[in-house]
Amino acid sequence: MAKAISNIERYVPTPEEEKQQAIQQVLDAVGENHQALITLLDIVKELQEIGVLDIVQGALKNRHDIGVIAVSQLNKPGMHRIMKNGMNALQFMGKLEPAKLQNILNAVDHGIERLTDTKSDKPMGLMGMGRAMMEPNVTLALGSMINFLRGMGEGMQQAEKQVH
Amino acid sequence: MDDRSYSIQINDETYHAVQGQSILDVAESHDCYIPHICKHPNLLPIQTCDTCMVEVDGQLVRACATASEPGMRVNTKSEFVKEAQLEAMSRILRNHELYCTVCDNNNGNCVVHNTAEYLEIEHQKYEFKPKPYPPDLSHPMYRYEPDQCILCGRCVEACQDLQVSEVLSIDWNRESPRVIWDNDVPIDQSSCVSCGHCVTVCPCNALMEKSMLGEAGYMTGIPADVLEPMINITKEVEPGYKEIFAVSEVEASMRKSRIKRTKTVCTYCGVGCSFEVWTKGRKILKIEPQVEAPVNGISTCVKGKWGWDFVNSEERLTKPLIRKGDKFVEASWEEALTFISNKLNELKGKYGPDSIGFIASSKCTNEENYIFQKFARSVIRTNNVDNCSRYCQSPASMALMRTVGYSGDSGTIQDIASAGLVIVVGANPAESHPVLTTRVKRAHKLFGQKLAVVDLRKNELAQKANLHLHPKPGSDLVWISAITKYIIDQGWEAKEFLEARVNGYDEFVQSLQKYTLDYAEKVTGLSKEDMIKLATMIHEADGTCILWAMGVTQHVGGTDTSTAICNLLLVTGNFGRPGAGAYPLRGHNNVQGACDFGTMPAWYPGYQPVQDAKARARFEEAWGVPLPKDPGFNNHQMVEGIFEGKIKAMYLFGEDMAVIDSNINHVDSAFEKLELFVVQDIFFSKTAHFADVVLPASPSLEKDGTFVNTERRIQRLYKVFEPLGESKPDWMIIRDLANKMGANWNYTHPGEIMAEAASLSPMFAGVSYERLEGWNSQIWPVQPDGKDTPLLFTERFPFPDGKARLIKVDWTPPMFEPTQEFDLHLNNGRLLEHFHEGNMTYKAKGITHKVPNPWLEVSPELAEERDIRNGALVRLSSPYGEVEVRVLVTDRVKGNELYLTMNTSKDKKSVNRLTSSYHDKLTHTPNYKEMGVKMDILEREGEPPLPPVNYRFGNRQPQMGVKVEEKWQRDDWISIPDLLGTGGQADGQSDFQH
Repeated sequence: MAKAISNIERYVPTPEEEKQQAIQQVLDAVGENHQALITLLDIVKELQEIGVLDIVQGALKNRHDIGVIAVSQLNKPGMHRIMKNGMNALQFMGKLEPAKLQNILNAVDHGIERLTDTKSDKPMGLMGMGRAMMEPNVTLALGSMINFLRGMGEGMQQAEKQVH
Repeated sequence: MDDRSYSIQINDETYHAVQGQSILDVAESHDCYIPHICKHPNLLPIQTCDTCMVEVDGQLVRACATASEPGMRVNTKSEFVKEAQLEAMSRILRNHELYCTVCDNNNGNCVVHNTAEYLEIEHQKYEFKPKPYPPDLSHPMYRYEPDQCILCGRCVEACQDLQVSEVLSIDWNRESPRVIWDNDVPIDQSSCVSCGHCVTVCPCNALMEKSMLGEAGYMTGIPADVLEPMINITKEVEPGYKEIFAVSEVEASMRKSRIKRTKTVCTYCGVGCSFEVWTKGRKILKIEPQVEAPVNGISTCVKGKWGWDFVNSEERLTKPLIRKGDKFVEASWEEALTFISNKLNELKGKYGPDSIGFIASSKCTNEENYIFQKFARSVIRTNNVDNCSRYCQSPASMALMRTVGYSGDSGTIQDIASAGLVIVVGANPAESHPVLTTRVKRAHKLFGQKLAVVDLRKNELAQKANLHLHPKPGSDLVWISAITKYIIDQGWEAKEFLEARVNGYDEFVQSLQKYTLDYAEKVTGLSKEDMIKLATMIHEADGTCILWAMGVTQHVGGTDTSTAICNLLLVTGNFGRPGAGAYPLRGHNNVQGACDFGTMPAWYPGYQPVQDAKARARFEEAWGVPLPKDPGFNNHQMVEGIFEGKIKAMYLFGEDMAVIDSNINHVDSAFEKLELFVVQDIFFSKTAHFADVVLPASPSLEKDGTFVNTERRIQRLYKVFEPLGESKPDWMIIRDLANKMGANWNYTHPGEIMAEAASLSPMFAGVSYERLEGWNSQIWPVQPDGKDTPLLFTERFPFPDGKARLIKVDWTPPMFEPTQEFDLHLNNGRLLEHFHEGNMTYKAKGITHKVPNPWLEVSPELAEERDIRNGALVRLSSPYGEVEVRVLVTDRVKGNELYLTMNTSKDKKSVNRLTSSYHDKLTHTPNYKEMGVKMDILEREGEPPLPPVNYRFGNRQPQMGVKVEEKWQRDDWISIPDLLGTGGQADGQSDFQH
């Protein structure tokens, strides 16, 4: 003879029991990972000593405000240019052939050595320059420079076309 | 190659094509990619995005809308094509900001993202301009963000021509076009039925599930005051879209590890929609339908798309409960199962196995139903096992079994969609089987399908139908027989079919003599002209499908009326051919499967009679025990058996019998007499209030298994979540209880249960989990080699001589005759938004916002006569009980016919307080639809039960598709071929007429 009833006596753990259960779970996890935790604690101690944790704490607590300030600072024409130039520079780096660049940089390095060579410190004079033009090393470098200028000019022309 | 197939050349490769395929179709069927955004596989070509431009004979055309032709040469890669596609994409990006990494739609499947990336878009050619409209956040489940809307019109096409709700359109005539709802009202106030089609087909983030917002991405939860400047920075400094895409792709793949995508099958109605559930932890991010889903494609209804909050409801049962005195006390599984096992053994010893009754669940899987009947039969040794089909579809099943031999739909949803004529009798599928109905509405709107509805109410399909007939309640057998006779009298019967494939024709014709049109006119109230019109429609149609449901079956003559439908279809040759047949629309996700897998008193799994000695021997051998020989009690007989002292204990799972059975005051007092009542459910249901032990079960999302839909299609569902708390999938509970009682079953996965069921049932011989992997499905009967049967009876009917049987039936007048006291006819049924007693759908806030209450529909005539208005509070009483409900005055009902929505478990509103215990004479299905009631007025007006934010008060705007012609007529639009100075046909002309 079972009448309809809707009364359920649920077992509700007390806050104390829930806390106890949670502490036990934490202790279990600590037991399983004690070595990693000891290392982590050491790192945390160092961070605390040099004040990094305070900074991080402050930043996290105010993350929304900081986020707004940060993006509004970044969202200015000057910053746009910095970022864009940075990215363009990176893209430029991406286009360069490392082997070629290395050759050129080696050559530049060599040139700098000669530049700072104290023995050739005296003024060269117009005649000296004229003579130097005949030297194969100088003609090679100058020729390369002129080719570089040609290429750059071509690039400038193309950019002009694209604009219009 | 037949004459409808030929080859075409794309980029110098030769491809096989079939007549009717567009260039895009041909390319896609050969994995040749042509970019496209607005064309969706489930939708007709829309022609708004222009990204599928290709070159044919030097001309630019849209690949989506240009029919392939023999010998056609297509180029998809020329410079010219690239330029056109880039131009199209640039036009799209004028309407859409790319901030993919911080967009919730960046999940690897964003069509706009993927197409822009494929086209190697580098920069914004046209400046992005926000539209002058704020986002529409009014709807509780989804949002529209005009600024991100690319105006592709997929949502409009889906709403107008696939779901055919006809709510969305694009207003091309304003300066800044946008998608509008109805005649431009906030979404929540429109006639939107919240089916989710528009959101699902949106190729970007303009239409999104609110449950996704701020949840899907790692960075999408960033507050707006940080996010907006971030988007701006990205745009200002962007080195080109390539780099943005690179970052967003990394982010999208990172999301894969935290967003889980699991295929499931819907737990609501019997249509059998399948889709992915996207989850993050226990949070449901969204339901994501897929084109591959065999029944629904990307279609869903409001319940399937949004009705899943119940899974994580705080009201879920998470521990077994045992009745102690006047309360339930939580117990361990060990305690609960020991208690049940001891008690069952005790009662079985004392009163015999047949003193115990088992009620199975049409919500639960085939495997669970199988193991449950196995428990009843082999552990308890009784055939007293039944399921809720007794309340709905048993009459239809019986009618089919005795006429054509198989108790299931004759064909699939494709047959319904391709029929020349669809007749709906006593059903409201637009609300009860919404996705199936979309295919009827679509065929009717776009492809010339004829539609006839015979129903007391002017429901949604009736409003659209070519013919709506309103017969007197319970008189369907008469007009069906009269039409059958008329067809025969005209000589329109399918003579060859009848000759070759049907028995009993002459006797049957004889039995029809009394069903003259005059007689039918008198009994049914339908005019002779209307009946002739319907008969003529059947005669002229190329294939007729008849869909029916509770309006036919829940009568004292339910089986006979269902039989009359089968007779009519036999006489007109509408079995065993595509686009025709009998479709009893199954109400629950697995009511078909519960019957198929044997939770019925007279049948083993696969419809093998328990009285058949051979079948019984097979099960006895497999299960290793002798089995009872005689059929057991059905639901109805169990309730009566309790009163007669024959039934002492019941075990019920996944069924709320105390709400759903008819005459529930009577049923309640039966439950009170039981010595043991075990109820297994996901919620503390009304029925559970009567239990001695309540066991916490898991819903579909927390288990593996299979369901069988109304098409006889078996589909797998996969576990999305672990069971909540200590709840368990039903099959595990039943297995554990059986083992407690010494059964020694070691099933570890439902796949093993299915393998056993398949090995014992010829009907499922070739069914296996491997063959059902992912989106695959099998439609029974399934041969041992896995070959299934989408269309029944193509060669023979499953009787010894292979012939169908015409069965003589006679009309049983309904048990409703208005009396002085009970003067109004009470009809009842489902709603679109809620399901069954509502214990799942009412947990979804958005759905409850749309429909918070049940209501009573009253005709304007009756409202005027009784001087009541919308919101009036009335008391309905019958000889069996009473309810109090608020009134909705509507012309969906006529005269003295009332309609009470059934989706509530509130005591004072449940329709089954009013219904009687009278039933169909053959199947014992209650005659829920034959009630006379009295209406007392408690308040003449009040707060309407249905808030004005419901689609029923909207203002639909039917049109064909998105009306792209209006876009092409805009002054600021220039066709891409014109722009590129090449001519071509992309000025709007196409081969595809919309």
